[in-house]
Amino acid sequence: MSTDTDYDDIRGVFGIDFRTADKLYQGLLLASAAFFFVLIMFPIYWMLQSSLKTREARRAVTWLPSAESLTFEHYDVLFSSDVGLYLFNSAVVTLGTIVCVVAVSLVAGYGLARLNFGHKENFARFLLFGYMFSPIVLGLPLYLIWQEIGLLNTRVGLIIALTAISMPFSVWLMWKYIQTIPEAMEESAWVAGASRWQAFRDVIIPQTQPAIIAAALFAFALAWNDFTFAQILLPRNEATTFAPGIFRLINQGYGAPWGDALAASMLTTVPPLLFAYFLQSYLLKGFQIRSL
Amino acid sequence: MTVTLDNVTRVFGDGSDAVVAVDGIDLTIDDGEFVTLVGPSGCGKTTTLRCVSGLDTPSDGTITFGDRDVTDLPAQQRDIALLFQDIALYPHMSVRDNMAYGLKIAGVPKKERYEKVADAAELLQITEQLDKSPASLSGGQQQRVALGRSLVRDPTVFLFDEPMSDLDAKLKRELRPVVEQVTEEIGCPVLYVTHDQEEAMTLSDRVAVMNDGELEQVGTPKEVYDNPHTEFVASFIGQPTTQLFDGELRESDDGFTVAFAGEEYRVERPDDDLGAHAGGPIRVGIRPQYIDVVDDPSDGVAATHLLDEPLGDETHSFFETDVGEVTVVTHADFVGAKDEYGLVVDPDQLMLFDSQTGEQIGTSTAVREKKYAPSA
Amino acid sequence: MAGKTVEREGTPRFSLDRIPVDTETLLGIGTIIPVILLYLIISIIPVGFAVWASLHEIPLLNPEWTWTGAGNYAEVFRVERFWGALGRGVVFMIGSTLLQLVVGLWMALTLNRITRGQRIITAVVFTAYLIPTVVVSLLALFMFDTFYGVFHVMGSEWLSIWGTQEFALGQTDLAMPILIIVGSWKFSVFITIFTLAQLRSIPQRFYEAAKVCGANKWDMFRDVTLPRIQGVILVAVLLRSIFMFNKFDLIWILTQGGPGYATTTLPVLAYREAFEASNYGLANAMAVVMFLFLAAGGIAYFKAFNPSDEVET
Repeated sequence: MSTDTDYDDIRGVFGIDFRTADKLYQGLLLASAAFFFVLIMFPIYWMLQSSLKTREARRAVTWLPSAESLTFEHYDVLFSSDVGLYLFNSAVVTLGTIVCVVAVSLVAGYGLARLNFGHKENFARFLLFGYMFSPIVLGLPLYLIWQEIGLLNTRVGLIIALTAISMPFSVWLMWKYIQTIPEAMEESAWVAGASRWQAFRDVIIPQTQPAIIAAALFAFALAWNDFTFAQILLPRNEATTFAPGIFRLINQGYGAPWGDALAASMLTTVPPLLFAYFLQSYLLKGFQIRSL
Repeated sequence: MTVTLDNVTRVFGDGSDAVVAVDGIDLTIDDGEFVTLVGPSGCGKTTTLRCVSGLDTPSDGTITFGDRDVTDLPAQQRDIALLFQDIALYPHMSVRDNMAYGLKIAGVPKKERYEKVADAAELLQITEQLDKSPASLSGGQQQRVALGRSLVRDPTVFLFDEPMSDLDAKLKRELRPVVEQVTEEIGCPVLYVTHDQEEAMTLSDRVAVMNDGELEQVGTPKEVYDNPHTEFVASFIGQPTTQLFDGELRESDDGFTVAFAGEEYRVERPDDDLGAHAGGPIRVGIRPQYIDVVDDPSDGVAATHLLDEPLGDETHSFFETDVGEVTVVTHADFVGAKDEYGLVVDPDQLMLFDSQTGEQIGTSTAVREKKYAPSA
Repeated sequence: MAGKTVEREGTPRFSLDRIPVDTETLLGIGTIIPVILLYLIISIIPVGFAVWASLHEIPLLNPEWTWTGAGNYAEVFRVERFWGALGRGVVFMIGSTLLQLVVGLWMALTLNRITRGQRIITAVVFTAYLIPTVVVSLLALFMFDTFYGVFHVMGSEWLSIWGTQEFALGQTDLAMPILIIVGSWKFSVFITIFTLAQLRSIPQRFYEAAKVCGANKWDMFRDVTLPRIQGVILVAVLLRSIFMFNKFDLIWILTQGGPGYATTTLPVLAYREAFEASNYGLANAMAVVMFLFLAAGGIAYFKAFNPSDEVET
């Protein structure tokens, strides 16, 4: 026979009964979510509303632009002036980086996952070591090398640099993901007469879509965000991307054109926001590390 | 202590999307009784179990443990044990710590905890595994550990959620007596959920057959087998399945006959239910074990032999007839030769069902009892 | 996993029978050649260059290399600003990582359990990480600006932490904390993403089994959740520490290492040494020392915690 337990002894956290504890928990969850929402959205919101104000209106630190001070003039920056060019360069570089990163890491990831050769783990770990170097250290040597090869001030040059930086992470991602695809799938393609390349193209690539998107997102974050490498490898103004460009803009002394800068900044925030909303599950999938 | 389910209902969603997973279940489980909820996937048995466990709350109805109303009580406070299909042993704890977990939460001192674990491990024959991690055990061993985890807590109610679904046939047969042993040892009410009717029949004191959210029948395994209350129960319980046909009930001066597949048989039922259905269509069921195969196709239902499945101690033979495919359990040496045969039915074993409600008309056991009743 | 490749028709058209090399190995290495090449250009060669340069004296304006051997290294340790910068670097690293860990973890736990508006709040949180650091820094500069800044107003008028004319980032005792907070606004989400991915993979069954055993929310967190995420947390903390220690763009844009040297960490110091003091060789020596510091720390970390074991599920 079972012992008689005093059921009221079993209690929730801090000795509160379970129903109340549950309610408190739910309350805490909501409060936390609200807190984080405000914490992150507030600066973004501030950026948005400030970019829609005229310069004078900004002096008065208010929550919303008033009817008169509401203006879209700063968004002209996209079409006029250097900023538009900077954004365009950023877009080109980012796109290029994404394509290269996906292509290279797919192939490398496949090799690591499927083909038998030694020291794979060590190779991958070795790649990770590269992150330990501060970019400014690599800066000047890179500058000199790029100058030698003639890639200085070219977008292609920056794309190569950024692709290289993304490598360790995305290769690791692809490798681990492809490992989860059963070999039986390729094998049935081989049995049907496909070559290794065909099987790779028709079986592996469609199946790695989540990892591809995750790698692309990661490459996007890296390239869109990059300041240091663009600063070093694209010293000439016309060629530079958004990050160093806007920095120079702000730093040109007094009367920093906040309106333009904020408007341009808003524009660079929109793609991330969209990706974060629509592709969040891929970001999570990509960051699921199983072992180091 | 008796577990009582009174009109337990569970509805998911609302408005036009509402899905009634469990519809007014009434069930009692006495102390020491082993009751199995059995039915096809999606019939609501797992949902019912979760309501009893406290992991889910019924939309209507009550659940009581003895005189305690536990309907709204959270799972932590019900003092139950629950065995999952996918086991859920903590990979980062040793087997011993896994088994001791419930006691640890209850605040039992370490020495006592480990003593109880040792006792349970001995009963379950897993003493060797105590220091290992769950990942290194086989599926069957893991289930024993899970059983041990529950055994150690000496719960007031023991619940099982399809624990053997992931195991192969051999393991299932090995584990069944262990389950019986453990539940007997604890002696509390047991509610077991499965879709495997063989498991239900071999383990239970009583079987509760569920379909589409409703209880079709509750009874001992023998009752459910011999006297199914509905067509569904007849076809769900028993292997191979009850063979069902469309037929007609005819009334004449001599009595009642049922006609199907071109044959006509006399039937009797002690109650007068037959009268209400006379002249109309009915469903006729017969278990494959009660069909005989004769060489003359004009004797009984004409059938063409399709194939045999020899099982060693008996054979399952498949025949094609005018009313569809029929399965017959034949003797172990039967070989069909794809020929023409006749299928003869034992009229005393016929089960009759209302063609609309599926309910059994009369009780077939009564007929048998008349014939096989022990001499006074 | 099969080690032998099956003999079949229609496999690689070229035959390497004459070369005693396994086709598979060759193909395998072939797939990673692009990666190796890139890595060579972006890491190995520049690092080699940097190490070589660290052994010389190189005034940037007149790029003549004078061999000094270990001279730069000796000077590195003598330079008092070096130790200060190292210290500040460590402060920045630890302060940032801790704050990011706490906030990031809290966000992950919240995102995992919230039901209403989960998509939106997750999108909002992820956005913070995807916004370029430059934008975050500029926005911070704007919001702390003495003329236009909302934080400036809040800090000076509402909370009186600093005077109405004082630029918050120009205050010696405020600059570093503000840096840490601004950086963490974005980088906490790094920890959140890693942790959330792991949290979502914990099957509900484990919690249910614990509930049945009588566990309350705290028991479940301690016995089910925590063991599953500690591996990921260890890895994420390591990565964040390295990245924070090496961080340059955030600090440079916000304070340029000031006021004075209040926020000059090692990367900033190296940069200044190279481009302002025109002492390129010394700067590289500093960079090498930074790397060795991190490498030593990394090895010690691995020995102490062994994250690779923990993460296997």
